[in-house]
Amino acid sequence: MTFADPHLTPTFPASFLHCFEKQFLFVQGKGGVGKSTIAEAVARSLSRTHRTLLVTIEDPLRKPGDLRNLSPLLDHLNNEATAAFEEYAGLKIGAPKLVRVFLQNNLMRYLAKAAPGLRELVLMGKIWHERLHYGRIVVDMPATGHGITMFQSLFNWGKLFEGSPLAKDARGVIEALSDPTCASHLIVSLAEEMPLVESLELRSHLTRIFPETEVALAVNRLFPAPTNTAAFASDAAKPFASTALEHAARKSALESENLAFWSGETFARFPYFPPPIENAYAATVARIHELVDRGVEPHPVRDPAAVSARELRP
Amino acid sequence: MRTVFDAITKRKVLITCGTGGVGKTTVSASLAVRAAMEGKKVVVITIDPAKRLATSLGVAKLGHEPVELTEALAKAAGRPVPGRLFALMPKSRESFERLIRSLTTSEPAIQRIFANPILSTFSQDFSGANEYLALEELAYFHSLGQYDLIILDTPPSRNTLSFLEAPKLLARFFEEKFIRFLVLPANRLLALGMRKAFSILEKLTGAGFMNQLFDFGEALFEVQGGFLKKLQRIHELLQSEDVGFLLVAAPTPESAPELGHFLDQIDERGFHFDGVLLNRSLAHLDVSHAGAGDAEPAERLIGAVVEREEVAYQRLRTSAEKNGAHADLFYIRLPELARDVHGLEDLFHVATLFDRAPLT
Repeated sequence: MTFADPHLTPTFPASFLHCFEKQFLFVQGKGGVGKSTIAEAVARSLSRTHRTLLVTIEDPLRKPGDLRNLSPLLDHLNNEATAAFEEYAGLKIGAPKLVRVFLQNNLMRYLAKAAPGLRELVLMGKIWHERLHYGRIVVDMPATGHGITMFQSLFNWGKLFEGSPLAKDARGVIEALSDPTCASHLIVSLAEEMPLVESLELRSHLTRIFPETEVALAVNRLFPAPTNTAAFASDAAKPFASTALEHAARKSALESENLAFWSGETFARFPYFPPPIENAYAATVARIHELVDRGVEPHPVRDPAAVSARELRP
Repeated sequence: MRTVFDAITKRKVLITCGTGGVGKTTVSASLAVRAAMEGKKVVVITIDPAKRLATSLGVAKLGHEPVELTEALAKAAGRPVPGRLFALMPKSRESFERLIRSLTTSEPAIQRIFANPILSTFSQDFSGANEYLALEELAYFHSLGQYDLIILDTPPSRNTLSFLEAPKLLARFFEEKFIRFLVLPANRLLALGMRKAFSILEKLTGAGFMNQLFDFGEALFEVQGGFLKKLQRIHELLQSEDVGFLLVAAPTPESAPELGHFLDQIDERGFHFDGVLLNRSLAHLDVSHAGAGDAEPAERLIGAVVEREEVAYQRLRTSAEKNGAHADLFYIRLPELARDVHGLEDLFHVATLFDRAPLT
């Protein structure tokens, strides 16, 4: 496949380009649609011009709270609730001795790990806190429902903790995320009925929580259409295809049909790249990153002198 | 278990685990369809806020009570169904209520629990309680003894393990020390460290929250003993020969470490693992043309995916065999339909291919 292939010509709608202009981008969607791949590709592209943080939420295969450098202007954080809670307590309590008493207490340890909704609140708080260090923050959010819970927790606990420093911080996060110049969302889907429909539901949910914030849509892993699709139209009644070509033809026809669920919407399209045997994830990120770089002009930093001290901090 | 049919026949409960997006719900439903075709009276349970089970069964709505789908299945399959098929989709709110009511009969205690804002946050969808509530439903239907087989589709979660971790986490939550401290003023005086920690917590969270936390402790004190006993019984059920765990995974090499990690956790808890279902396999396709000079990009893509499936299978086996206790697992691949799964007919097709799919 080459970029001469019309299938791979990157044409991104304005809604997608806008994602690159906000400090916070939350990449969301159903499980297995390729959120991580697209989040990382976008973060890599952003780090052309901005000090960027890519955040994953509690990846069990990585060390909790681990921060690592991916490229000169790109860091990756594995955001984890217990680590974030400890950091937050440290910031709020100040005196190291008191912090130790507090954190070593069994009940507090328990609350940090398992109190329903508190984990989500702390995870959001940590992401928000990082705004001081990074010009762009791309969050690879947990699948649909858990992602929504993370936002919802800000409101629930804001109310529960009324009048307290925690509530004040929760309100601060809500304000920032409600500000359309500060935050945006990208919902990733596959061209299958269920994720397409769920994505629109997720978008209405997000719009209810953050009425002003822009929500962009993207469809990932689009099957390349074979040149000869008509030959297989009559086989539509058979549940399974028998050859690779037949499967591809029917699959690609099915995808076009399914995209009717998004008729009237503008959305970014990403193709299905053939995965190599090893390191398929990194290879796919690289292909999508290349595509995004081609389709998105590096966004100029408005006032380089003012921003650089903060964003380019070593 | 050598085959998926061994599992369907020998177990009374099958629990399907797997990461989000692998098609756990579809696989659970097609397993149930197959069990019904094999003559079992089977119920498939899912606590799924996204209503995927209803969609994949092709029914408009599923509720808190089992709905019988035997006739619909016979119609879709075009043949008589020797067993019976049921499905239900409990709502976490109702499951939570049933749980509380099973623990106490005191109406004021019940009202107090429902009125506490901490607890109502707790029982909301996605707060991590769904995993426990799914087990609660499982234990309930198991105790009724009305079904030959119960298939539990675990709630969508961030990772495969969170389902296994839920009961332990809850047990700690209800730990006596914690609740006793909240309830008994005498303990508050004694534990100096605790008092300090609490005063810091109060500074952070405000007095309103602290009052609710104490109220929450008192409300739970009443049901705590019963709850811990229940947790113990559920744990024993999960350890029994009645229950088998299954992993639903994508047929990719990346699934192999996931399986190894999952098996470690299963063993640690003394649970039984039966087999791996590789969903949306393309291995049934003829890919002989994929390497040809005039092959279309789409064919090459499928060729690459199928090649990875072969590697995936080898690595899954190696991953399981490293763990000596798991030499006799079954591995089956469920072929991807060339259309979306829309109802019982599609599930029936997938279920039929359980025969063709075994890997050796």
